[in-house]
Formats: sequence, C-alpha cells, structure tokens
Amino acid sequence: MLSISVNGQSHPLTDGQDLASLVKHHCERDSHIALVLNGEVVPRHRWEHIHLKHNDAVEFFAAVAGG
Amino acid sequence: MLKIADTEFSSRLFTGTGKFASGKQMQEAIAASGSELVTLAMKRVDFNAGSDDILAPLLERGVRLLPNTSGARNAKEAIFAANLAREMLGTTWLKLEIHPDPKYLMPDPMETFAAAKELVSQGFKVLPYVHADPVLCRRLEEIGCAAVMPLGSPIGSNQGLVSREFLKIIIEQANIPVVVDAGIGAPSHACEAMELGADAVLVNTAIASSTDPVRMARAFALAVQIGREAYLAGLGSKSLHAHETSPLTGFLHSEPVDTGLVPMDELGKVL
Repeated sequence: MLSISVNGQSHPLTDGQDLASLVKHHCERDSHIALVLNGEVVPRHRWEHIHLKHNDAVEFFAAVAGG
Repeated sequence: MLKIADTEFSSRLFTGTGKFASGKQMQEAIAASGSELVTLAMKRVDFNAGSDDILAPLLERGVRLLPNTSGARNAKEAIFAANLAREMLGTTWLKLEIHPDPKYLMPDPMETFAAAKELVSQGFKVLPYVHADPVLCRRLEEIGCAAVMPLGSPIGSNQGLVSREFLKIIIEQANIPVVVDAGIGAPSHACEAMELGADAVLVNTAIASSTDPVRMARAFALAVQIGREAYLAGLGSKSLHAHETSPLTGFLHSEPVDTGLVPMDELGKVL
C-alpha cells in the first residue's frame, strides 16, 4: 500500500493526491499554517500542483505561544 | 515615535505570548500592556491535541506579529524557521534567536551573525536576539538588521539588567533601535532600560508568570512610559560627594559655612 508520513505518522496515500487536498483533509482552515515536504518549505501557491509520492514526509507547522 | 524598519510604534513595550495560563489571559494582558508587537513561536501541529487559536485574537487586535526562530540551534535551522514563518504568517519580520545551550539559552553570536546576513539578503526584517555585545551589535547593524535585541540577563530568569554597563555602550553606538530583551523581571527593570535610552523592551515571563498578569502588564506599560520620559528629560549626573540642595548658611551664624565651593550667582557667574 502506498503511504506517506504526516507529522511523523503514517497515512495511506490516495493515488495522485496533491498537497492542497491533504491540507483540506487535515485542517479545518488552511490559513496560517506552513507545509514542509521532505524538509523543504512549500509555498502555498504550489500546494495544488504538488502530487504526493510514496514515502513522502509532510509536516504541518502552526504558530504557538512564545516569547 | 519609535520606528523600526518602515513601521511606527506608539508603545515601546513589546510582549511575548508564552507561559500564560490561558489564551484569554494572554489576550487580556496584551491589551492591558498596550503592546503593538508580539512574539510567537512555531511548532509542528499535533493533530491529536486540541489547541487554542492564538492568532485570531491577535490579528483582530491589529498587533504586528514577530515570529521567533526559537528551537533553532544553528544558522541553517534558523533560516529554515524564518522561511516557515514567512510562509505561515505572511510577514518578513523575524526575531532571530539561536541558542543551542538549553541551560542558559545564551544566543550563539557566530550562527546568529551568519543567519542574519543571509536573512537580510532574503528581504527579512531581522531583529536578532544577542548577548549584550557592543561589537556584535555594530556588526549586525552594518549588515542591515532592523534592530538589535541585546539581553539583560538569561531568558525567563527575571534577574534584570545584569548587562547594564554594556547595554549603555550598545545604546550609545547604535543607529538602529535597541530593544532590551530577556531577563527583565520587574517594571523597575524595564524603567531602568528605558532610562538608559533603550528604544523599547520586550517582556514575557515577568508578565505571564506574575500573580495577576493583566495588572502586571499595565504596570510594565506605565514603567516603560516613565523610563522613557526620564530619559528624554535627561538624568542629572552622578557624583561620589554630596552637593547641597539647600543654602548652607548656619542657623546660629550669619556667616556661610565654608564649603570650599566657589560662590556663584544663579547664572553661574562667579561672585
């Protein structure tokens, strides 16, 4: 089975899935998050153009409280 | 009015968002502080844990966001974090902090300088958190940093301006704003930094870990205003010896007491 890792956890990969649909699946809103694919920050305008492959590692980042 | 890069601030108190008991308390404290610039950190999302949306209320308040690179241990990680922040928040403002040592959280000057140089060239408004090192601060100014943020004492330690004498040199030399960051533990410390001529202070722990953070935020706002006013008024000079503030004529004698001082009239003319 094809799979990707999302924030360290394994997820099945639907064939041809793009980053934008992955975001829709994981987040209520897509504002104020940043995506990292295999260690590279992916600009928002490219999300729908990037199709995920087996073993890709995606990380979602968000703002948290800090000094 | 304080101007950093292209932005003017009417408040010289910047605040962090960490360590508050709740999001509500954080918002109320920031409101009470009058702060127009607040720091944030970034973290990998934990989909299993519910999280407070800290951003929405801050954006609603209209405060400017200053994402930090906390957690970065070297220049490469900090540059990555900066790009993450720009993508996430749509801002090029950045509190650059690189502290590999978890015990004292001392900023690494060499990694900070290297990261600052690269990030300035990428168009970031870089506000580096640094030790109170006058030479490093000058170098960071030369490469185009928007401000410097020297520490008073270790982050979250509430020790106040341990670095006071070096902060004075930094302030004297700087042509960009100096924001005293870290270690400010009481309103009196913030006031002292402003009296020295700091352009602003950044406070988090002292407000968030107080018994009444909203009230403490208000106290800091007042202290910063008082310190700034005193700086603008110009503090009198210090001396080892006493200088009389009242006439030194003896009660029982009409002759003045010999003070060894040269008598002068009100205009300073020797009589």
